[in-house]
Amino acid sequence: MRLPKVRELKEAIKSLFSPAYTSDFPRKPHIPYERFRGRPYFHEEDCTGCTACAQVCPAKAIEINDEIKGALAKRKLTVHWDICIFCGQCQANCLTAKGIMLSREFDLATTEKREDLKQTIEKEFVLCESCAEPIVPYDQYVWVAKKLGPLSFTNASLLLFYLRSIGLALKERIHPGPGSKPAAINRSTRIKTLCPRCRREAVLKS
Amino acid sequence: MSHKIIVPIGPYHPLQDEPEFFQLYVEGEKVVDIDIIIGYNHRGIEKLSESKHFDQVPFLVERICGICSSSHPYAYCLAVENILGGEINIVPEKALYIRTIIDELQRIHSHLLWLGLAGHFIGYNTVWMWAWKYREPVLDMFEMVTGNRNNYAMFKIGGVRRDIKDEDIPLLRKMLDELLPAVDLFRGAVMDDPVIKMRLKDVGTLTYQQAVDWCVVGPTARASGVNIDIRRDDPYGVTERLDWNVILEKDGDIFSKTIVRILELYESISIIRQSLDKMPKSGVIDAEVKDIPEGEGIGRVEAPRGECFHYIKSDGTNQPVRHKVRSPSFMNVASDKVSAVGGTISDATITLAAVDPCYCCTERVAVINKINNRKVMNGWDLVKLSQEKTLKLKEGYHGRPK
Repeated sequence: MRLPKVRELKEAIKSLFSPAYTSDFPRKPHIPYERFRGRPYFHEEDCTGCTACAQVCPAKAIEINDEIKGALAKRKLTVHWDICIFCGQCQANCLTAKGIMLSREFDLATTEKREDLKQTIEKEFVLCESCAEPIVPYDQYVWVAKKLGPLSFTNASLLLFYLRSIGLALKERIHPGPGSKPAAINRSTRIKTLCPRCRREAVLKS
Repeated sequence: MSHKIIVPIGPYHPLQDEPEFFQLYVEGEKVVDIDIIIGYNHRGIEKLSESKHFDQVPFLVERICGICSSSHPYAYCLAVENILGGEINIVPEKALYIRTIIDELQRIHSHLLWLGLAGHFIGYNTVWMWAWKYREPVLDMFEMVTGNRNNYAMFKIGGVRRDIKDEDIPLLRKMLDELLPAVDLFRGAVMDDPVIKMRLKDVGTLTYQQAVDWCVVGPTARASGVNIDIRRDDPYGVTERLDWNVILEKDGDIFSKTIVRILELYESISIIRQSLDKMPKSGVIDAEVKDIPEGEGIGRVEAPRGECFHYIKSDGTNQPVRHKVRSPSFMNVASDKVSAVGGTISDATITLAAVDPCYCCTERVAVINKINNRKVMNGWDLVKLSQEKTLKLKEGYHGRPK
């Protein structure tokens, strides 16, 4: 009985003369590992507003709200950190791979309400130049146009965006405003940014 | 006639992972019967899973249990891969090794956690502190490789989500090398200590026949001499290519259960070391499965507590039609009906804990007797009762050496 206890005594002495095993957390900041999955953040300049993150989120922590107010249509993307399970699926499936990224922040404590644990970004919609219906967020159109490059000349809407992005077309986007009647469809309508329905009509009627 | 007293434990209690309700019928100190009522923790996981996409379900099922959080997604992935044609035919070579490494690391951390808690319940708080101290590097490795200490989000149908990089391997090896002396220490501390032997030997015994009758699984069954291990009987991952043993004990008491778990730590360490040796240096880790065809499949994984079983029925859409889960604790907890009866109240704590239900919920215990005089004990009082018994044994041992 006595002899085997020496082994445990050794461990006890080792523990006694070594500093506390626990980390000195509040005084010394804790630095998580490189790949730690912490609080996710939207990065507005890289996010295109495509909602892929919301589709794959297992916890439904990303909320999408499309707000159409007058001539301005906006898509609100909200990540709720109180619902988030930090699985990293949003980052893994992001179109640009940088639009939403998990940080290494592990401390979610707040003195505010739990509902305030969120981050919201807004993305402006492209409106149909004929009927003022929102089509897709502006950034996503630009991203697709840039990605396709010269191939985007096959699509009139993308062509306009491509030309705008390289500075060859007018920057301002023209839309008729709320409640206005759809513009008459003629041959020039085909070279406009159109929603799928107007595109079909333009192709059929012009 | 002695009056029968009922000691309710639960539904929320520090000894149990899930809220379960035990009613101990005691005569004096002796437990004469036990009622086990489960179902307090119904979270609707199966129904929830049927409303999620196949790719989202692993995140849900790994939250069934915080400690076996790789066994459940693994069993689920095996079930879906069973529909697709078997794990071995679909999953890339490297992913198989990564799956096995994660699964075994989880077994190490779970057994160390149990060892610590068992030590705490019988009054060996030093074992508790040390076991949890050596569990910490394992969790750190998880954080480094998968990005979280628990809920690893590693498993995916047809592969794994994250790679074990080349620079991780030396760190993993170093952690295992440092863990081995600690496991030696625990083995010595448990096997040589006469007080632990007196305290745990012939307590909460589950004989071979009882273990077979009550269909217990995992270390609980192996401690009673039932030779079952899913890793060998229905191989998954790369375990059949590696050299390891199934640990068996004969007695079925809590001492055997402790020994089985400690010796399994050695086997897990050995499996991880061999996997790290044989793992391909590069290669794909994901088969990129797109569609799940119609059909049904089962997946079985040896979780730290025993066989974890998942059944999936698919109708060709992107959501499972039926998902059935049977976790090992469901089988093991029922065996308390035989193992706890005949012991004392102070043994009940460790007997109920010996099947390793994962502990998390804390509430209270009330001691109520028939004449309606009520004494409320909290969970700590019950643990204290158990610790006092060890102390008494210890004093007896040192006072009257045999």
